[in-house]
Amino acid sequence: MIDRIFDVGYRRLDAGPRHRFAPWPIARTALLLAWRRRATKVGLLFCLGNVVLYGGLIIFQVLMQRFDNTGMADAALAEAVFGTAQEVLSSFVQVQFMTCAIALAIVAAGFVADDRQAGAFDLYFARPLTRMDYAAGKVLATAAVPLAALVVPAFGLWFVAVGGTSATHGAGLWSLGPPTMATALCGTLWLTGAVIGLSAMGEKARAVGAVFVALLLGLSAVGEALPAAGYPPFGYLSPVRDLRTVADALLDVGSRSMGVALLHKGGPLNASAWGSFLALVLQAALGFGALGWRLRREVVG
Amino acid sequence: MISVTGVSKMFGVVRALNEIDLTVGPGVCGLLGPNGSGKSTLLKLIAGQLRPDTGTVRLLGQDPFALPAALRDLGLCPEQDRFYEDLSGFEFVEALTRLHGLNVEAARQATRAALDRVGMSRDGLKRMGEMSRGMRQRVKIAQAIAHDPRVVLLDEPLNGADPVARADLIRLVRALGDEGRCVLVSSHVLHEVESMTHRVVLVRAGRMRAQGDFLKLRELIEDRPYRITIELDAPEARAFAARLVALLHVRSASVNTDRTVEVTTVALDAACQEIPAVAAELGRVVVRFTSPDADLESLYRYLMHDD
Repeated sequence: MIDRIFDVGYRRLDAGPRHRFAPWPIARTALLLAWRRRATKVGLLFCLGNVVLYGGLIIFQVLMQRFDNTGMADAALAEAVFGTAQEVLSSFVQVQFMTCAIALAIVAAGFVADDRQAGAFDLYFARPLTRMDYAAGKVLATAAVPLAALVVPAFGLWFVAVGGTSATHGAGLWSLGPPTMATALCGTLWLTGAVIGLSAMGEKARAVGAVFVALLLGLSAVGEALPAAGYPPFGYLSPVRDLRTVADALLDVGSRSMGVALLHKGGPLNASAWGSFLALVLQAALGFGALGWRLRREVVG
Repeated sequence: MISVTGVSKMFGVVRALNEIDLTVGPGVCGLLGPNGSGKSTLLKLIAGQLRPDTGTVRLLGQDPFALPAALRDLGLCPEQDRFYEDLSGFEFVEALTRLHGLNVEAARQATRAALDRVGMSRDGLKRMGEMSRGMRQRVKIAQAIAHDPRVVLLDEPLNGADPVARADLIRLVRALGDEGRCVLVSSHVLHEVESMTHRVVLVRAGRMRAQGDFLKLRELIEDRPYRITIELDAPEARAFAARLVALLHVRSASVNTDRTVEVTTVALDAACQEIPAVAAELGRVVVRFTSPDADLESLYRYLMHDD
């Protein structure tokens, strides 16, 4: 076994530094695989549809305010019909939250479940990866969808509103940026945590997607019905209601205009915006916890 | 390069591995055993995917469980072959190679080289779902060697490959070993392992049955003498058999035809040297000399099927 002369000997590949951020390639592969499916494109098309719709509303408002003084437009009437910038942004975040949930059920349900089913953990963890690298990669890939479809467009709508309107009207809109982003990030956090947690628990992407949508609808139904029946604390179970409460508190929406109400029917709110925020964070944390539990169970660390 | 000392692994009440000791250095080594013998468990332990209940595993001197960085020089080709059907072979290998810390350009370069090495430079652009099993097998091997590892673990690497592909892959495995890498190949196909290496590890029911050069291991089985069939150039089998019986290591000799003799011996090397000399004493030449039980298959049969 040992008295043997080898042909060339071992030579290390000259590939530069070997300490790169491992989650990137994991996220990139997951997103690349998702992008190859037609259903993903359809789901994202729905998200784009919302952006176009609400973008149109914002642009209309901007134009009305710009030409308010010229007598060619009536900004007050436009606000009464199509809502204030606050209303449009708040409504967009809530509607896009639901659309993103459906898109995520298609795109991200298999991110961990498919790996488990295919036995891809063997390939990943025979490499210098930690469980944290893998989890971060999958979370990044999952979060990319709501970040791209919810947070970035919300920022874009606000930017258009601020940049396009006249200086007098624009001054009041600057302060809407951080609350809009905060609300969108709350939604992103919940969506990411919930879908990645369910993906870690399930084995088939379609089943995980169906359970995710059913969970969202089920929690929302319970969270709306029980408070109406006299049990207000159950309202915190509904992520939709929680997000509505957070959005309302942060953006100070107030009365609803006719146009926005047509696109998005509001509803009762929870008593505490902080309570709703904590409920969203807690539910998301449960999802991340499920991912951690699964990896601890299946992967030697 | 691989050192396994006193390793046992239980799955519930089933003892998958029992006090395994194994050291594998550079070159190719075959890991053999029937289904359920613990081969895949052993590979997973070496790859740091399972933790032993007792004993230690060292990969290039490091603990693969405590230090994921120890896996930087490991390439694993697992048995299952349905991973990411929508990725092309190139994308699949590149994505996994990047997990070793290579930047995009270096990973692409390494991927191209690895696919070229397994003969998939052209078909590597196909989707994995469109590839034949043999092609997927080659791509799997490519992802195991793309990052230039010092230790390569191949679990059933020839599954599904056609005869030409098998011959190519056998050449590749031997070349990997000749480059000084430690290549541990698990397989059921004995003659293919035999064409890759003489070094084998035999595992049965979770226990180490034998390890070493299979020809030397075969010599250690004294209760199973070698059968040798010798054919002479002239019909003098009877006289030839009478002379062969006088040799110390020959247990028996029988005449099959007037030119053919079958002897049983406990020392194949000595027989190889002395039998032609005996034939020469009679003025004859040995035209055929075969031993049906000096190969890996007979060693496997004796060690794994006999109690």
